[in-house]
Amino acid sequence: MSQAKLEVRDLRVSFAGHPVASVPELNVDGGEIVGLAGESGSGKSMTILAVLGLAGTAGAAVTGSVRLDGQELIGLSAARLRAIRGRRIAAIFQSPALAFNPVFRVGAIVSRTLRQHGLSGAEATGRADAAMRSVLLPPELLDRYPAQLSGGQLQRVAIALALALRAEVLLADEPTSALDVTVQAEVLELLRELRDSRGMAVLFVSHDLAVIAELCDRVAIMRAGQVVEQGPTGQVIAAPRHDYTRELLAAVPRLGE
Amino acid sequence: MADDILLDVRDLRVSFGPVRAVDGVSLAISRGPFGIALVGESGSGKTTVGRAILRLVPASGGTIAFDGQDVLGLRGPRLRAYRRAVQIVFQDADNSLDPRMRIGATIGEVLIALGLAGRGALGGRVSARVTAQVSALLSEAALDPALASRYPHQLSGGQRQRVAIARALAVSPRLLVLDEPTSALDVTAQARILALVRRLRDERQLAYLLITHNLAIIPGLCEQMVVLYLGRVAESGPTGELLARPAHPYTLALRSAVPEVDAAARRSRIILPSDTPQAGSTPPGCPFHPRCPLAIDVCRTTVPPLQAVAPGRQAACHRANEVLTGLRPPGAPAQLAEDPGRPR
Repeated sequence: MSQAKLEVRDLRVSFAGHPVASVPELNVDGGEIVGLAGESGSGKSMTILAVLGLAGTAGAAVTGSVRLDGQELIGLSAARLRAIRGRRIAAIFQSPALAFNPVFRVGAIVSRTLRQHGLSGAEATGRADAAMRSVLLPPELLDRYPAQLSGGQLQRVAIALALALRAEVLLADEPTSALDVTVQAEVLELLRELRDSRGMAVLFVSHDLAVIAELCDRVAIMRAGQVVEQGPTGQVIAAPRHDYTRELLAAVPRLGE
Repeated sequence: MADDILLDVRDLRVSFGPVRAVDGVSLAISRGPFGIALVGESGSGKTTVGRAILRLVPASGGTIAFDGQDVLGLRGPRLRAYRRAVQIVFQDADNSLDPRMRIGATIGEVLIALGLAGRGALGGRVSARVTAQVSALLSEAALDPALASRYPHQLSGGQRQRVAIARALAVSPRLLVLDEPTSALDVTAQARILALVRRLRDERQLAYLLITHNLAIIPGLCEQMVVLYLGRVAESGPTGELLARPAHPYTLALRSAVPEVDAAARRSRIILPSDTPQAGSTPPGCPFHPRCPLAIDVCRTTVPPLQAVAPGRQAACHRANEVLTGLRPPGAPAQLAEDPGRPR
């Protein structure tokens, strides 16, 4: 059995003994997008935080295993995690405006992050410019402040940062929920591009099964902290086995109706 | 004909300094039960139209008539009466409910302030009559009346939005402005809110203006729709026809951006280059031409007038008739354009 880029096994996240997310098995390989779907409170975001090694900072207890290329991340020292988080495993979140410090220019935030991960100043500038172009943004935007960019532009800068660091895994937590549908379409297209041309492994969290259906190769459906169903997206959508999946599907608004 | 019109907005203009956020928008809202959608991206001016209707921002031009009476000149008690008839539900119930007030007090306050429930004391004990009305309103919004004793933070986002709707209903409005009421919710909560609006529409004979960027929530809720781009109407008409056969390339793009669960229903996506330009830096010619995949020379120089393209339908596009008859951007197959009763 070949090893996936990111392997989650028996992951359990709990607060004060109260379990909030439990994922028995989830693999994300390079060149694929795996969806994690469910309502608010289903444990999707806690799963992402646990994979990032950040659930502990939120006060949660985490057990189980998260492996990147076979290397166990759970229990790794803070320093060694920092070298991986951001660089090898990047993350983008629902509200890009909250991910950028408003008092610094976007370029300053990007280059500081790149230098923190060992790039020289010149390298950082070059990579930042190239990454901006690959997310279809003019590098001049780096001179602006976060408030001067739209939500869609900021989300693309966050993706550019992952690209500049040559991240292997991208964790995307509702990255398009706060965006217009037109901008959402653009960001989804960009994520497909990362999967196809850069072989990135993407774990994509969303409450919207229509978005999942369009984007993800496989999907895991979460409810109340448990994975209730998982499989190839087409199969899960076409023949859902769990009532909850059917419920989620029924909630998706359709233009044709 | 005109007797059917509850709210008539003509050539509405709203400026913020030099920025023309709303630049000549007209729309007519029939008496309830009736739904009309106002659609567009961030920055299109749709929220500003809604706020201008409520007199929350001043109009710099145009007219608004409610029941045949001028709205923009209303003052004092008549403005108060108008604001009772027209209520708004905002996108973010987190910010529109007072975090320090219990749900019951939030709704009861409206009843007391408007003298609709006899006398009562605001933070203290409220009359049994207010309590009874609050319970009835919560039930009507499909909430457990016991939630009246809770604070907003103890409720889910969907529940909070229901409270906002219950509060709007407290004054028995005739028109609701729903400003992106489900954008902050997940799809399951969204479906419940939309079902609630549909039910209230029939039970209360409500008319509403639904402001949204998501075309998918409009069918089944709104008979009419108006598509805004940079403060101007790009296209308007009956929902079913307009969605099935858009006359404006912008509507085509909005439609294609809707994610679809069924692979069969997926249209070739038209990705619009770059974000909406800022209102205030409107380009010469058609405001949409820099992003339009179908732009030709005339679009770069001449503003297309909003004109009739079919019965009950208007569009502001030099190529509206071509688009209506199937012109599509390269890469978007024409057979998807017709969209004859797609299988679900």
